[in-house]
Formats: sequence, C-alpha cells, structure tokens
Amino acid sequence: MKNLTARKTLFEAIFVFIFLVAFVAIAFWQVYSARVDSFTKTKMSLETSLLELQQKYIVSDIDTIISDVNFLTSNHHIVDFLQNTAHLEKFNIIDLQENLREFSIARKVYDQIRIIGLDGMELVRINYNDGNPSAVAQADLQNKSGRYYFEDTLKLNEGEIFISPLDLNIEKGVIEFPLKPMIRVGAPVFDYKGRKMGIALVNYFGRALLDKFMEIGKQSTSDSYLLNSDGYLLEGGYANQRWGFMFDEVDRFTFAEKYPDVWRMVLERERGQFITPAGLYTFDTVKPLAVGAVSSTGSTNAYAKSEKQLSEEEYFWKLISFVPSSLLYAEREDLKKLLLNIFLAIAIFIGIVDYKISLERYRRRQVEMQREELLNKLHVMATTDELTGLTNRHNFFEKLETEFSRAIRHKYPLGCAMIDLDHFKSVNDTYGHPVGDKLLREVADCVKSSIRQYDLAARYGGEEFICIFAHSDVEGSKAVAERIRQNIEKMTCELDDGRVLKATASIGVAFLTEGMDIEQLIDSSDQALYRVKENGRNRVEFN
Amino acid sequence: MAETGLSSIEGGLRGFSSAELWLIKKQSGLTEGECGNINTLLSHGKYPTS
Repeated sequence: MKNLTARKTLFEAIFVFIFLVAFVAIAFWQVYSARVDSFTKTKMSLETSLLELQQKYIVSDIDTIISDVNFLTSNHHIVDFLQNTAHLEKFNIIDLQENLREFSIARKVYDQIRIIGLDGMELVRINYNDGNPSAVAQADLQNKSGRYYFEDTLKLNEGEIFISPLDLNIEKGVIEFPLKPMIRVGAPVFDYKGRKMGIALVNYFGRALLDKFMEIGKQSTSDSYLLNSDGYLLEGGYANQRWGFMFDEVDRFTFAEKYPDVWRMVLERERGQFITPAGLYTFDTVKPLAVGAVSSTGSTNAYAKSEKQLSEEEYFWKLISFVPSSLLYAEREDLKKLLLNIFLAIAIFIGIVDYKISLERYRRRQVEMQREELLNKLHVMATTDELTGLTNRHNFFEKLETEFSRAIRHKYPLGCAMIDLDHFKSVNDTYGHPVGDKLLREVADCVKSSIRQYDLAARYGGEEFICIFAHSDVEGSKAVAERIRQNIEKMTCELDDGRVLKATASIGVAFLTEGMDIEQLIDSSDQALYRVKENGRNRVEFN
Repeated sequence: MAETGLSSIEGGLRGFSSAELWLIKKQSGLTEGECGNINTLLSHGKYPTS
C-alpha cells in the first residue's frame, strides 16, 4: 500500500514534470522560431537593401559619365575645334585645353579626356596626373586608330555612346601596374551639318566606382563581389582572383567555374536571394548600357579589335553579396544557447518545485492512509468481537434492526437462534481461560462455516452466540440450526499437549411472527434455549 | 434473560451463561445471590467439575 502510494505519487510527479517541461519547451521553441525567422528576414532585407544601394550607385555613376561625354560631344568649342583641325594654327587650342583641364579638375574621375580625330590621332589629351591635370604636348600625342575603343566609338551614329568593358588600363601594350581599372566612354562628335568629325573619349577611373561599391558593402558583414558577365571577378575576393580575363595564366580565377551552381542561379534572374548550405547569397544586375549606348567585348590585346558588339542585355555586371552560414546563423546560435540555458534553469526549477510538492503530497497521503487504516481498525474493533472475529453484540443489534424492519416490510420469514455452549464454565475452570478462549474461537469458526451466506452470526455473550436466518422459513432455519449443532458436536479442539476437547451446544430457535418486536424474538429464542438446557442439552428446540 | 449475558461474565456469577444459571437456579431452588457462592453451588452439586 505504501509502495503503491509512493509509485502513484512518483508517476504523478513525472507526469507533471514532463507536462510542464514540454509546455515550456514548446513556448521556447515558438519564441526561438519567431526570433530566428526574424533574424534571417532582417539579414536578407539588409543584404537586399545594400545591394540595391550598390546597384543604384553604379548606375548613377555610369549615367554621370554618359552625361559628361554627351556634354563633350555637344560642346561647341570641341565641335569648332574639330571643324578646324586642318587649320589648327587659326584655332586657339590653349583655350580648349584649359576648358577640358578645368573639367577634369572639377570631375576628378577621368584619367584621360581625349578628342581624337577621324584618323585616330589624338588631338587633345588631358591627363589627370593624380589631381594635377595637364594637357599633353602635341609631340607626345599618339595615334589610336588601332585601338578597339576608337574603332568601336567612331562607327557609332549620332546619339550613340560607346562604353567599354570595365577592364585594366594598358599602357604601351602592357597592363599598367599598380592595376588601374578603367572604363572608356566615348561618342562621335558631329558638326552642325551632321558630319562626323572625330570622337570625344574619357577614361573613367574604375577604382572610384569599385571603392564605393566595397564601401557600401562594408555596411554588412557580408562579402561583396562584382563580376562581369563572364563570371570574372572585378572586385571582392582576393586580389589575385580579380581581373582573370586580363591575364593569360592557365588557372586564372573565375567565379563561374569555381561556383558553377551559384553562378547558374545568379544568371537565371536579374536579382534575387537564395540560401545554400554555405550561406546566404543576394545578387543584383547592373546594365551599364542605357538606351542608345553600345559596347563591345573590347580586347586584352591593346591593338586588337573587339570580337563583337555587345547589346544592352549582353553587357552586364553581377553584384553578389555572400553571408557565410557561420555569420548568418551566429545570432541564432547565440539565441539557441541563451534559450537553452534559460530552459534548463526553468526545467530544474520545475523539477525542484515538483519534487517538493510531490513529497508533500506523498506525506499527506501517508497521513491520510494511516488515518484511514486507523479508522478501519477502529471500525473493525467497534463491530467485531476481538476473540472470535464474529460480529459483536452492539453491531449485531444494528444489523438485526435493519434485517428485522426489512423482514416486516417485505413479509419474509426471519429466524433467530440462540446458541449456548454446554458446560463451558467447567472448560475454563479445568483447562484455564486460554483453552476456553481457543474453544470459543473454534466454535465461532464452526458456527460461521455452518450458516448460509445471508445469515448473520454474532458473539452474544461469554459462550453464547446468536444467529439470524434471513429469508429462511421454519424448515430452513431448523435445518441450519441442526447443522450448527451437529458440526459443533463433531468438532474437536486439539490442545497443545495433544489432548482433544469436545463440545456440545444447546440451541434455541424462534421465528418472527406478526406483532413481534426484536426483544420478543430474542426472548422467544431464549425460552427455546432454556428448554434445551432443561431437557438435557445438545439439542435444538423451536418456538 | 439474554441481557444478563454480559453480567454472567462480568459479575459475581462469572463463568455461567444465563441459560446455565437459569437451569441451576431452577433445578436447585437457589437464588441468584446464592448461585454466586461456589460453596453453595458445590453443596448442591451444581458447580461443574471435570
């Protein structure tokens, strides 16, 4: 019973613990999921915004260059100058050079500003010279007729603009070191009659654009990459991985070959975002060619022609930002650790409280159980005869009253037998009270086993027993009383010293008749018993 | 009477059931008080012996 209570309390404690811990775990999981979702969304949103900013900056920069070139081609000083190239002595070239020098100082982003004649000869050239622009002396001007940017620009119509690929500056046939990223933007110059007179060309410092691109990228923990349409790295990554298309090394780096799956997804759409096991990729596209602008593939060979013209769709740069998983999920891991620690603390707290409550509950149950046991014991003591285990006299009368009322109400027969052991006093006097008690116990067992299920037997006095035969007619009661008498007579009580005691009983039986009360019924059975005693004992008499 | 059953083990007539006592009284003509005296019972041969 004690074990059962302990086990029940333990199961309850475990159930409560599991339930509460599971509840807290679910709540924490909800918080964690919501926060993680929020982290990722914030990160994705930030990357998208930064990339948009980078993209807008580049587009805006290109637009400015185009505006500058348009300004040059429509500048009447330049048009007048080109109209008079045959009579340069009549033209004040110094004024033009000064104008362009001031333009260069003002803009600060053009390595060279050139006016080139139809034959490819540079007519005016302003070199930026690290912030000290100056016009190149006539003697040092070169013929650029073989260069792709001249060829590609010269063949354009009015309103069209040439934008070269973003590549490295080549001086005297070799790539200039330190590397000088460059975009050449040019347009033909037409006179007032619509005749092509030459071209205006600017060499734009790509470094300014690239530095700004990286500076914006630094707002995030992501890595920024700028790639051309062939997947070559223009900015980002390691220095030795950039400008792969400008060099002849066999193992030159291309993002497209190194990360083909990523590159394929980046090419599929203009902008987007995706997460791979490696991390978060965000990408956007810059198409430098505005309406009317054209470009060419250019050439890494200073004197080679472009392989082909590029359309707006073909000339693009890809902007990619990459947040590695370790950074993307860093906050998530921190949150996970924090929540896990809090969760463990709560679980331990729940465990301790649960343990304390369960212990208290167990103790209360113990007390309750002991009280119940005590009450049961008291009840047994109050209703049972201690010596024989039969119903005691007090309890017998309570039950008899119930049975008596029921018998009267339902008019069913009721018999009452008074049993008295013959010469019991001599047993006590001869063998002592312990033997007398043993005999009484065995007689009681004998009486109990002789009556039927619905009958009631009680110890009435010292060696007197009383039985109630419910639902029993005269014949039935007689039979039971006679069976009791016979069984007592047959019974033997073996003593510790091996002697055997025998006993007989006198039984008086009475039956409930109309108008009889309980006292009269018992009295009637008593009268029958006295008759038995008078007539020689060990018999059954009826009233 | 049945109610005297308890007194038969508690009182001076300890040892006799009410039925036995009733019989002794009836057969010997003794009073209940006389039945409480063993010697009286012995003289009338009413004290049970083994």
